[in-house]
Amino acid sequence: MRALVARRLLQAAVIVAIAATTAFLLVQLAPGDPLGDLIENPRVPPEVRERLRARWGLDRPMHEQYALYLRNLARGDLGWSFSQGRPVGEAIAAALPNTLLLMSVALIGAFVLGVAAGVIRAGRRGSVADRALGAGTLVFYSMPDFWLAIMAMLVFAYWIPVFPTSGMTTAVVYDYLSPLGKVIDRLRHLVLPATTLVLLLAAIIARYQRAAFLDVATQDFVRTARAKGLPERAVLWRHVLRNALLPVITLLGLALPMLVGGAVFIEQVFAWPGIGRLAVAAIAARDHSLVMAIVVMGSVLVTLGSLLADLLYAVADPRLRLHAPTHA
Amino acid sequence: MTVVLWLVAIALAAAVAAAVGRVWARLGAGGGPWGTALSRLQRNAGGMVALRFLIFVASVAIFARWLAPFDPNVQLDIIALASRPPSLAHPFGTDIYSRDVLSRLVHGARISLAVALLAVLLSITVGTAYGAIAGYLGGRVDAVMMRVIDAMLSIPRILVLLAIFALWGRVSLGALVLILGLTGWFSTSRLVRAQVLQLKTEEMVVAARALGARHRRILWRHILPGVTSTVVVAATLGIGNVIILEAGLSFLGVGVQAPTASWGNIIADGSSNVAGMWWMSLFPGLAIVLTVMAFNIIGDALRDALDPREIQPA
Repeated sequence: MRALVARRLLQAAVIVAIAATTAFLLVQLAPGDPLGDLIENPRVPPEVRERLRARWGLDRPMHEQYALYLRNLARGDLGWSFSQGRPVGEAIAAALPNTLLLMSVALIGAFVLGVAAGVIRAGRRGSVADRALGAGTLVFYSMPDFWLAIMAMLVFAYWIPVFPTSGMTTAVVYDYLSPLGKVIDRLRHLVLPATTLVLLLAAIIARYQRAAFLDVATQDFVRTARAKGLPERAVLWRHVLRNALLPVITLLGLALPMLVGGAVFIEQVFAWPGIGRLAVAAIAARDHSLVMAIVVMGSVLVTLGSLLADLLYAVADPRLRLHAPTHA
Repeated sequence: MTVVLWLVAIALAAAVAAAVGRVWARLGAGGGPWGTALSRLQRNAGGMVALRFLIFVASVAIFARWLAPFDPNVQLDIIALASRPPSLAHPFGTDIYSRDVLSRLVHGARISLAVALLAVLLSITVGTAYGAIAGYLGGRVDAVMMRVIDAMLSIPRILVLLAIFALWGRVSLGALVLILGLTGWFSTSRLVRAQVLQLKTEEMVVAARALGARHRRILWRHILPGVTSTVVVAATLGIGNVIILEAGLSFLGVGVQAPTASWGNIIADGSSNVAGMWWMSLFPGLAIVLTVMAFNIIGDALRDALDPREIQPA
């Protein structure tokens, strides 16, 4: 087990390093200067231009810049965000908790809903419930995140105004609310963005869960369990579901990139002050260092997620503890 | 006048569909693994409905010029006709520049479908080549190639795309296709590699090698045909994905650029006033959902039809 952890940690480090290098190369390949308008503006005098380039190490050869970039990254120094007027680390630290709140609520909700839907469908294959859930899954699976967010907003914030349209708190009023009132206000703001994300992710999970369940249900030990006269309920719950939950752990690793994608759009529609919104604002401002930092951070997040999933898998499945995994 | 044109166009589309259907039925009756798969696909009711719907959407896209009641980019009457809700003359309303939303939607089908098809074609080609090479060569080369794929898959695609657009700014349609295609092949290559690893050890491949066949011949004649069904399914599901992705990027303002209409940027045009102009987000969104759903249904149906283990419940 310890060897497995060490191996996977090393792999994760390599993956993040490759991702960081990709981000670096993207900036190098891009047209224009990383300092953008600060340097390209013809009104900036040449001395200032040179000083700025020297200040950020842009006058050095590429391999030195690369070394500098990796060293700063390893020390946790993400650079300076020109559009935010503060260090990139600070801007990200301010937005990250909001995104993590949204994502964790969505993740838990989606897993509960998705697994339940998948199991119900697979358990009663061909029934009305299976078909109805199948249709629902397909619809949400085929829906753009931002469109579902807009529709939710249109229906539940404008036409039937039960939830606020955007933000995390009600402006101004929030400061005068009682502590309980503040919590309720925050929860009310969380409902629409979180539900949107839950529905989209649950649809994906349900698809996988049904397939996993059916995969297990056709295996020999299930036939044996039936043959020795176990009631159907015991077969499904004790034999099939236990084994079919294993792939769900892997899904945890897969769900994170999708959550990040969903968060970008949903934060944008609901003006949720998180990483996704920061990323979109960063593109509009062409703030290279902020964008790159968000890319690297996203990759770290996803890698950690799949690392966690792999380790959980090893804990849950004794076969993997005995033989070192050979799969990638 | 436009009504007559509409009727002619619909009749034309129906005739094309009928002709295609005739050929299609004959193909399904043929033998071989592909004929069997096709006849299985033809028995999948949902799949056939989805296919007909896609043929309809594709004909709308192809004949957009004659079907659209108005020029999609012309501002009809900025004073009298701006931001009008749906009416008989403008079934899907007009936007803030008084352009007809139905016409933009019909022309947008062209852009959205073409971008998705071309991007997926590119990513499937690159992904298959990369995966086949990694799987076939195996060993250390394979390990290195797959670590690179792991790293690429660890970066959420949307973040890569946002980074690219942040650095390059607004891009042309061709560049958009390239960018979408070149960021979408990683998972395909992984699928193909897994399949090739398995096929490589099959007796037919061993036999071909024993007979002295060259690597190129083995890859083309013995391995790639075995990968085709995986790739076809991945491509079909991938098209739906890319339609959603392109819509999202256009919604954020970095995908298809104005005044060219795409399903995503029509929604973006109305997003400043969602409540006041609901028709701007509702109709293009429905077009996206229905089209992507059709691709997903066909992808699933193809997967079932092509899977030799799949036992169709009678």
